[in-house]
Amino acid sequence: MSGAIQKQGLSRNVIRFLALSPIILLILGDALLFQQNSDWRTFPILIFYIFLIIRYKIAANTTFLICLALFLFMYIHYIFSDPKVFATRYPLAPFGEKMAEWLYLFLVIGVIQKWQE
Amino acid sequence: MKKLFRFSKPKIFVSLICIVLFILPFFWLHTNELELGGDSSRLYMYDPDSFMQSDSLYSIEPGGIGALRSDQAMLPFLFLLKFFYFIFHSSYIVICLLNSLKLVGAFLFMYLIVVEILKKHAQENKMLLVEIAGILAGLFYTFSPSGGESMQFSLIVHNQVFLNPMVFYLLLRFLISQKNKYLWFAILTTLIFSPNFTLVVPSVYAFFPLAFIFLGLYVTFCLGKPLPLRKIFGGIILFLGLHAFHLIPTIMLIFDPGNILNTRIFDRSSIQNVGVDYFSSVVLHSMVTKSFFYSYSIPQTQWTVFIAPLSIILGFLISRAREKTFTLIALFFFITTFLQSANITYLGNAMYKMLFYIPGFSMFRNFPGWFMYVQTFFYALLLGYAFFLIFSKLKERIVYISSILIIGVFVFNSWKFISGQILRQPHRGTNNVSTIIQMDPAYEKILSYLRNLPDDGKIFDFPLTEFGYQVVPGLNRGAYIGPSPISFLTNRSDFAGNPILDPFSATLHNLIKEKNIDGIKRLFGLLNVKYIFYNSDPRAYEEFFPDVPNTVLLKLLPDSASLANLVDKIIGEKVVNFGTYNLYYADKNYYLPHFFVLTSVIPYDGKKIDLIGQNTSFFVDTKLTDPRIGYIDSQLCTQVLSSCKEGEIIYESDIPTITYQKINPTKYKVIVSNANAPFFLIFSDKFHTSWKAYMTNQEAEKLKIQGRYFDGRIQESYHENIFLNNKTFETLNMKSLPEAQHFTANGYANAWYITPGDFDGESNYEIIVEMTQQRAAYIGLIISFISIIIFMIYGVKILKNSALHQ
Repeated sequence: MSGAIQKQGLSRNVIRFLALSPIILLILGDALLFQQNSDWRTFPILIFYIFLIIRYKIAANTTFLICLALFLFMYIHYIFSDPKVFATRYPLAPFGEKMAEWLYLFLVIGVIQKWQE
Repeated sequence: MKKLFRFSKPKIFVSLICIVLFILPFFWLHTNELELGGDSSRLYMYDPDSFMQSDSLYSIEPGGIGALRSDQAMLPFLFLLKFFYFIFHSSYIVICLLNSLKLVGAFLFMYLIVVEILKKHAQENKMLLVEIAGILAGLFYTFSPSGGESMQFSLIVHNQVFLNPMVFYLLLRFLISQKNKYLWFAILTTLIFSPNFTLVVPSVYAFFPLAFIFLGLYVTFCLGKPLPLRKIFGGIILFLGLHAFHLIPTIMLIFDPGNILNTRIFDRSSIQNVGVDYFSSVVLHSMVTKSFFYSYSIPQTQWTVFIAPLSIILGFLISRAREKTFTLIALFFFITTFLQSANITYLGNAMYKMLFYIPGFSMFRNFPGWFMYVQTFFYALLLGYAFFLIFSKLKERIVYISSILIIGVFVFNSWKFISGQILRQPHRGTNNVSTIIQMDPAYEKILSYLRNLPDDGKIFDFPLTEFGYQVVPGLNRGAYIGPSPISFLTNRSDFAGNPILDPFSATLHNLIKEKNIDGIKRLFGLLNVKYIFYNSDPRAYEEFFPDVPNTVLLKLLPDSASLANLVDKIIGEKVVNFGTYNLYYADKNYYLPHFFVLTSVIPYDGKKIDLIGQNTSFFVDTKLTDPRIGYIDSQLCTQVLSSCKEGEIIYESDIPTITYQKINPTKYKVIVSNANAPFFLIFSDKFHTSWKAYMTNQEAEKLKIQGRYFDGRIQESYHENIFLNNKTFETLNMKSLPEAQHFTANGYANAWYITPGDFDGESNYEIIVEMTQQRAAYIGLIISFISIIIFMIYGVKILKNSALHQ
């Protein structure tokens, strides 16, 4: 598929954008549409991303750019919330907390990628 | 010259920061104020000498019924505090000095670590950036909430704020340079601050295993150097030898069935209740966000938290592929963040929970509290590296400006801590009562009076608190709430709260509820309570504390007037009063001395109805006028007395006269006269098989008497507190009474059934009652003493060699 896209003359950045958009949307969907986190969503998304890394040879820095985006979501929610919102996960984890978990996971993936580059 | 200036500028800046950090804590308190409260209290800062005498020399809890425990690890630290107290004669200065040490040590050693690691990877012309990155990482670490928020109510383990980076730095230098002097100083540090290096302190296991693995990997994997294994082995041996004085007693307790340490580590139901269930409740409040965003929960400063995570992400973006050191630090940052948050996926959470079934892991049930220091350490390290990578891409002028801005943001974010407001937060659940107090001279007078009392009777404290704490209001609107200063500073046992009263706390509450004054007096007698300490100041009760820490008592006696009414009914004569602090005798008709001989035995069917020991409400049922009653489990009783039957009272008429003397909390001398028939000797300290009654086979000593009870049938000598003299080990060659004659009486106390046959028909003899676990402390001290001599000789040799090389 990537070969086909490249033949059509799409730049590397566009490929990266097309590949990564679903990931960002899936993460946002997971954080915004569901009240509770679930490993049944988290791990398939991560596996899908790892598949994209292998398939489209996504660089570690791209993963860190996703981290930057996740960080921004997390930060914006954090500064516009009362500190008490982040005092407990009970009964529901706030949006920023879900983003923090995703940030952690993507940082780990990014560091592993960087090591392998 | 220019080069020297460029080199020395950061050093001057570092020195200036250290001076500011050193001075800072002196502004947190006024010269007449103290901050002593908290779970483990900091009474050792108030009076280190008395604390040592009461708490740290002996393997017996200073308060209540004298349970077995070990706190010998405090000794070297107490000597250090005694030294400073001797110089300054001020608790205020000692408290401020320790806080200064924490701030300066945390900053300086984190700075040194970052510089040490980065300089291996930086070119000569980047050394300035290395220094700046080190300073920023040091400030980030020092001002972080993990060190700052726990400054109030700080436990002794809070010293890890500076000890972790200090020992880490010394070991790093040792492994890189292979010079023994660094290892020597690292071991010396662990000795001086040995309370932070005991077997049962979770902070040791939270930080050092990870730190050692990191250091090993860094030296071998990143620097490609071999590990000096022989030197490391020698260091471990020296460490064990120096720390033997607390390691040996603690090991004895860990393998002592029934001890709380043993239960916590090996008992599966305890692991489930105290470990897994506790973890499950804590995990709800553990947030990954807090691992990235460090803030003091002030809305106005929340925006400042972006610097650290953003810099780290930028650092990752800039870093080269396969950058070993950065990757290694990142790996440890991830591990510690996982351990601190426990909320990285449900799978991660489930795996974490499983770790609690490893014996001993339940010590981490409050995992965020233990791993936050470790996570902050690796976070600061990673941040230092990230700053260096980012600054390497910037012009020097921009580096200066951005560094100043970052420092400004760090200070703004941590202003609550830097300004000392964190110490001035009120006690929770109180009417805005500060934790900082101005000590009431009246309270100091009563402590001094109690310290000089010649007898061995225990004290009951009113108001009775919920957590085993005593409340001491200050001259200001502040109060000390923590472990009883009477226990820890006067070398006397007192009952300051419900947990200390176990196994009788529920019974006492029922008696108060039923207004059973006779029952309360009888219970006090059974607990060897000779004095009642009553603080009549309403500020110690509902006025300042409408909820905690007098929760249960407030439900029964809702105000100071009803408490005063109860106290008035149960007290005997007044002994002394200073201000609102009153000391009364308990009712003498019910008082049972620390040692007594039974006049009647009441066998009962032992029921285990509480967590701590056997308890029934038997003592209120009896109407016997002589309180020298022994309630003994009928099964145990029949082992020595065939006439034992449940519900039938056995009267003992031919009883001897006894005279007793306290040598120290682990050793008592009992002189028995006119013992013509078998008798039960009761010792009102918590039953333990390590309490042994030794037959001295020597002529009974003539003791000077200061108290007579029951028409002189029980006499009390002046008590002493001799830790070491030529008689300390006198029982080593003595025979003890058989364990079959030793059992529990009155639900908690030690009882020995003694027959004339035990002493070859003699009627006058001497018994020494001794806690044999104290021997472990003595053995440990001897090993440590020998090790210290070797260690010091070795240290002198190292320094001499070092001076010669220079």
